[in-house]
Amino acid sequence: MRKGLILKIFAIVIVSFLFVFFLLPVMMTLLRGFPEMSSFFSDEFYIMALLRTIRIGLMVTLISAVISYPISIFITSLRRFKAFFISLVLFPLMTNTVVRTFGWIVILGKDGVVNKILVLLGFKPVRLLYTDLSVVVGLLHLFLPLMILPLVGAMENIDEELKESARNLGAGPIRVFFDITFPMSLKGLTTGSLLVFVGSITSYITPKLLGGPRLATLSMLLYQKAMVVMDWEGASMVALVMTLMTTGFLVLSNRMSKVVEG
Amino acid sequence: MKIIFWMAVSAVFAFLMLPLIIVVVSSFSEGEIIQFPPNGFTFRWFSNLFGMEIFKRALALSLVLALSSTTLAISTGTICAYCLTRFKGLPGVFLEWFILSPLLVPEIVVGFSLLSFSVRIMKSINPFLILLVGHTLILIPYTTRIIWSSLKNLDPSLEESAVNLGATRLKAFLDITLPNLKSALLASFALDFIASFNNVPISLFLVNPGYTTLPIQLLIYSEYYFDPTVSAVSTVMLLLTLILLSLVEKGVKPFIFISHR
Repeated sequence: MRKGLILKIFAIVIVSFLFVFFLLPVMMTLLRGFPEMSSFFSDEFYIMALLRTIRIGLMVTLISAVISYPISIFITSLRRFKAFFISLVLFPLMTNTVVRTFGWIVILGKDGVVNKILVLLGFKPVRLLYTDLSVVVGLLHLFLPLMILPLVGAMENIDEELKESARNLGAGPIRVFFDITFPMSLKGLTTGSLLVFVGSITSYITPKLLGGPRLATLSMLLYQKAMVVMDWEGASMVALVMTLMTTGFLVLSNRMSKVVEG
Repeated sequence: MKIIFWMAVSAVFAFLMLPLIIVVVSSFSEGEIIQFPPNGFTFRWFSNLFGMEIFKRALALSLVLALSSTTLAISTGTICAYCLTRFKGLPGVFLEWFILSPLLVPEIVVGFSLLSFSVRIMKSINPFLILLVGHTLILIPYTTRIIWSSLKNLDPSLEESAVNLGATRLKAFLDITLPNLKSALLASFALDFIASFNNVPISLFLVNPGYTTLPIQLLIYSEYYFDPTVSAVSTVMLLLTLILLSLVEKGVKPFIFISHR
């Protein structure tokens, strides 16, 4: 009895903490943003930023899905060094976003690694940094592990004998992939896509450092409004749009994964 | 076919590792700007770094902040997880929803909301305290999930038998349940510390002059100078992450930590 009471008190304290410092502040922001919504959708500048954010998010998600498949198949097929390769995929995920982005600046910059190689081969240097392309590359690097890991998780549940019998019946590796591996990994694919997409559309550092100031995304707008021009109504409005998008996708994907699971 | 497959696999690993390797290597370069391949070899950027007051202060703040928010998040997360296994029905569902809800909102929105809340409502709050609140807040859901999944596998009747044999509730929890959570607690410690130490979206809005975390200080510095000091700071941060990550045992799924973007 006494234990039940103490636990309840603890639970109430934690819930109150989250209420005061999470729910209340976020609700206040969203409510402040609400009256501004009409000006968001009537301003071409905001619409452009929204579309750019979505476009970048979709590109990152699509490309990461395609390049995650071979590596996920490889990791799933491993026996002895599986843990090692999984931690190899995991390590970049745990490192600092700022640090990873600096790496890409050195690679993609004007005198960067890519341009040095191009010049060495006799080509003209190209402008890579401060384009949508460099943002996509940076985000891809940031979120690829979030696609690979759920895919590996899903593929580990596929019965190896199923693939074996398909092979015995004469199916080639491509047939095995499209008839067994791909359909049976859809759940991992939806989870991964969701994590990558939501991560991409809400990230700030990568578009800021690799995209430069001209190519605004929603998160960059939010920061500019809040910290540079001190327009907190405008910042709240952008925050509302971002939250609606991410929450919307989270709910939608929850539905989707239920459909996929049957 | 096989060759294409192997090339694709190696290319992806190279893609994942290359930027990190380049940052580390360039921190030993003698040139005044960050470049790759590096020229020469020197430790001067590291000694430069440890001679700079701003980075020393930022490092100290980040370490203290990470340690305190981790401690708070682990104690809170353990209690939350314990409650979630014991509360049945509506209170349990309500509590779960409440604890995990910070995952639904983009961190950058949480950061901005905390800033505007602290300025409007709290008027003047200690700059360290608001950073601590922000960091703890986003660590709680992750920590709860890790400890909860470990607690679910533990038979509650173990604790019950200890109580029946005369132990107090607290002693039963400390002697029976807690030791069984060791690997989950260790994993939470490492992952929370990494997530707090590397956090950008929350800190971005809550830092103050004199209270700037290391990633944000690095960001500010890099806007003015892009010399290998930036790489040296990055290398120190990578090293710390690597050490902490080695504490995590296999079997824990750290990728549920999608924080610190």
